[in-house]
This record gives sequence, C-alpha cells and structure tokens, in this order.
Amino acid sequence: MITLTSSDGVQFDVREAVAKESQIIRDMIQDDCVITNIPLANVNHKILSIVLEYCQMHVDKTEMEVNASKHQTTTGEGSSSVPVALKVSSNKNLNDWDKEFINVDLDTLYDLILAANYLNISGLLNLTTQAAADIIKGKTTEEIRATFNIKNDFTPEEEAAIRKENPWAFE
Amino acid sequence: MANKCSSVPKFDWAELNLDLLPFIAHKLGDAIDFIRFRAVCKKWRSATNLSDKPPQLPWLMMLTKYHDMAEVCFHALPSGKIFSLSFLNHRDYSVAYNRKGSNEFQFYEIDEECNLKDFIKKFVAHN
Repeated sequence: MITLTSSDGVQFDVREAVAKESQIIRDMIQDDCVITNIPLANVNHKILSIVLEYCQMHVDKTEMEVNASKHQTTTGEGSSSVPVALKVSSNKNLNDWDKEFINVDLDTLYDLILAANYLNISGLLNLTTQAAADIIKGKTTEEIRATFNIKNDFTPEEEAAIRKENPWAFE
Repeated sequence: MANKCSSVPKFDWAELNLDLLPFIAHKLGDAIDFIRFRAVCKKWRSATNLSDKPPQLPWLMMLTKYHDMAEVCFHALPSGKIFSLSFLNHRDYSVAYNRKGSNEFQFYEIDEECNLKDFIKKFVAHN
C-alpha cells in the first residue's frame, strides 16, 4: 500500500497498482522502492478522490481481464476468440463507465484536467479534454464564452478581422 | 454529452495552461468548431495555430447548376453543416482546386482551350 496525501492534508491509502496509473508516481516508485508516502501539492482531497476512483476502476478492469485470460490458459477451455470477446465487452463497459464518470460540473472538469496533467495520467487527460471539446462542439463563439466564463478580450476591430477570415463559420 | 454545465463556472477557462488548450482543440473534429475556438479569446487563439489543426474528415463537395446560376456546396461531415458558394453560370466552366493538405478551394474560369483563366473565388475552411 502507498499513502497519497492531498494538498489539504487528507491521506488516501491505495494499492501500488492504483497509484501507478499516474506516470509521475510510477517514476517515483521505480527510482526508490521504499517510498510509502507521497505528498501531492497540487491536488486537493476532493479532486484526488475522484482521480483515484478513476484509477481504481481502470486497474480493476485490467486485472479482471488478465485473470480471465489466465484462467482460460490454465484450464485450456474454450476457443481463442473468447478472451477477445471478453475484452471487447469489457472495453464497452469501461467506456460507458467513463462517460458516466466524466459527467461532472465545469469546475470539477477544470480541476480534473489539471490533476490528470500534473499526475500524468494519459487516459484521464484524454477523457477530460474530450469532455471539454464535446461541450464546445456546435456552440457559437458567444455561447462558448458564456459557458466557460471567458471574457472577450479582442477589440471590436480584431474580432471583425477574425470573423472576416472565415465569415461562413460565424453565420 | 449531458454535462452539468448550466451554471456559470467559477474558473475562467481562459486561464487554463497554454499547453493544455491544444489537447482540447485537437478533439473538436470539425473545422467550424476549431475556427470558433480560436475566436473565443486571445489566450485560446495563441494556444492553437494552423500547423496543429485537429484531424477531421474531408468535406464533400457538390456542384449544382441552374439556368443562370451555379452553386457549390461543401458538406462538413462531422457537424453535418453545409456551406454554399454561388457563381454566375454564364462562365462555362469553373474548377475547384484543393491545395493538398489544406482546406483551401480556389475557383477559376476555364477558357475554350481548357486553360485556367480568371481567378473567381477562394474559399478557405480555416484561418
């Protein structure tokens, strides 16, 4: 077990495999195998618990697959297509789970993007940035600003010039 | 996706790290969303440039001729949006030219000997 401490001092005891979903933690553990407590200065406990839920789920799913394929190898039952089918259905379940998991408010999404980047968890970074892109898709520039609390800092002249480059995109 | 995004967030997303914004822009999948993304604010614009355009499906191009008008339509597959350009049909032929690797279409009049003559219109699907 490894203890991860959030920026606000909350400790989380997790299995090494779960913590190692983070590339940065994986590197730390490889460099020095006696590490048992890792402070994470940039992630508060609320976000860390969500991140760890993601890591836990993805590790569990991977381990389930490995065990299922091991079981199949040792017993020699079934055809070779079984593990593939199992993997496909497992991936589908995991994608559904990811979709439900990332259905969060924009402030949480913002923090999750930063945490995924800081902890270097590529799957979570992909998932969170895709969720942000999906919210942007199909919106006008004004709608994007309103949704993401962004101030228009272009001068009217600059904005007119940008729109003139591709007027069809703003019709 | 039915995200819980109805209330205004407390974070200003213009403040998101410059190196993270391209991750989002690359997942938009359609030129129109990419162009609008780059028109949101200075930070979002500076974080993305044309050399790292998001991958997107090619556009379908259709030509329709009426008695005195011709219309070229571009069908953007990801969003299903259609953009059209009108031409006078008294010019016998016009040609659409898509420069390799870009979404730039240039239209020329063709003379009797099939030479490209007058440049008529340009349509650029990015900025």
